[in-house]
Amino acid sequence: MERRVEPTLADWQNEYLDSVRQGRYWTSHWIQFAGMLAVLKVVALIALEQSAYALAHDPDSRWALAKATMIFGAVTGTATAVLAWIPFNAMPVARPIDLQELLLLIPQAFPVAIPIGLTAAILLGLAGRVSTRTIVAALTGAVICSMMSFLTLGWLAPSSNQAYRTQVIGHEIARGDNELTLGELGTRIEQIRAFDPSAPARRLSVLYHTRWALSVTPLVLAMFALVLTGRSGRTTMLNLPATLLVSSGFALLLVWTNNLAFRGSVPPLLGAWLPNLTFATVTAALMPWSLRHRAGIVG
Amino acid sequence: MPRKARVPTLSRKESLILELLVEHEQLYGLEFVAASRRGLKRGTVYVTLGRMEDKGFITSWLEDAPPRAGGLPRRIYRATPLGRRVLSAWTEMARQLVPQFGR
Repeated sequence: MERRVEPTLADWQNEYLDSVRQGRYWTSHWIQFAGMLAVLKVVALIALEQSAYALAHDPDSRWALAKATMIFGAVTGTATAVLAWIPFNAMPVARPIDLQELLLLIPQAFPVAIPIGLTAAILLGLAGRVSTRTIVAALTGAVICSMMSFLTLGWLAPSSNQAYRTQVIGHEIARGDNELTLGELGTRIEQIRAFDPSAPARRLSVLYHTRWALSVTPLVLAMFALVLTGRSGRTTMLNLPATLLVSSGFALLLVWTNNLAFRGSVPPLLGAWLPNLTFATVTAALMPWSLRHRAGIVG
Repeated sequence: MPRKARVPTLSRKESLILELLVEHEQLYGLEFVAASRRGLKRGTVYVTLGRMEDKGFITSWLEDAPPRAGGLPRRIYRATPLGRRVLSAWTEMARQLVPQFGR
């Protein structure tokens, strides 16, 4: 996967930088847009390649998976649009709506929207249709989502955040902490610690570990949702509030533990991973209850 | 029972990529798109290049350093001897099957 995505990002970045240096303003913006589409296309093609085989051999569960996929697309798309709109709308100075600027905010909204979409897809799409095949397919989808989140959080979002800042300011500006790629963030932390071994580089460490942790979140929430839906039956009456509760609960927990880590109350690693660990622990605790229900011992 | 060896196959895009590499020796992703005159699109070209590398038709490496500071190093591609042989055999087979091929 790396061999397919990494050259896409490198060519995109170099083409963009070339056009900026040559002062081709409109071309550089077109390159930003076309490059973003190319990266998304590459990731989608890889996902399709990997899931096509499994789906072709799973006719019984095809409808449930198709429904879950449609719900995933609709919820993730809506959540991405809302999460991109919030910072766009929060600009202190009123600005006319610029679609290109809004598009540049999509990559930073996407990794937060993915776990919401995935939770909804499993709780609403697979309700009452949990089988070994659907579980395998859902977990495969979750792994693909995790990889997409990792690529977006590590490289795509920092690049598009910087392009957004450049566009809003009107000229090139130095990159902030959120505009550093995952590798650059790690290097910056090492540089700070090499300069002063007692320096905690706390803020950067929290950002660094949170990007890793958020990449795993789709998988953690997918497992949690699978355990819940294994017990919930075919009705979606309770699954809709459950989706909202799980998604908002995770988000609030992440904000809280990140704040604790920023303040130094907990180590950065713990602050970043605590929400995942909490949900993984609850999943493990609920697993026997869900399995007993599936086996028909309970209820 | 020994496993039957699979005969290498070439899709239209793979064949075009090998032809471009034979012509230009080495290229990076967007150069393929430009040189193919709309035969290859950005996005799909990287997936095809990755698949061809898995098959052993092409090889790649990262350029030593970005030409200018700021960008990630580009990945450069070159046809392997296997890739050249497959393209040659594929072209010859197409010529024999379709007499008009190459005219």
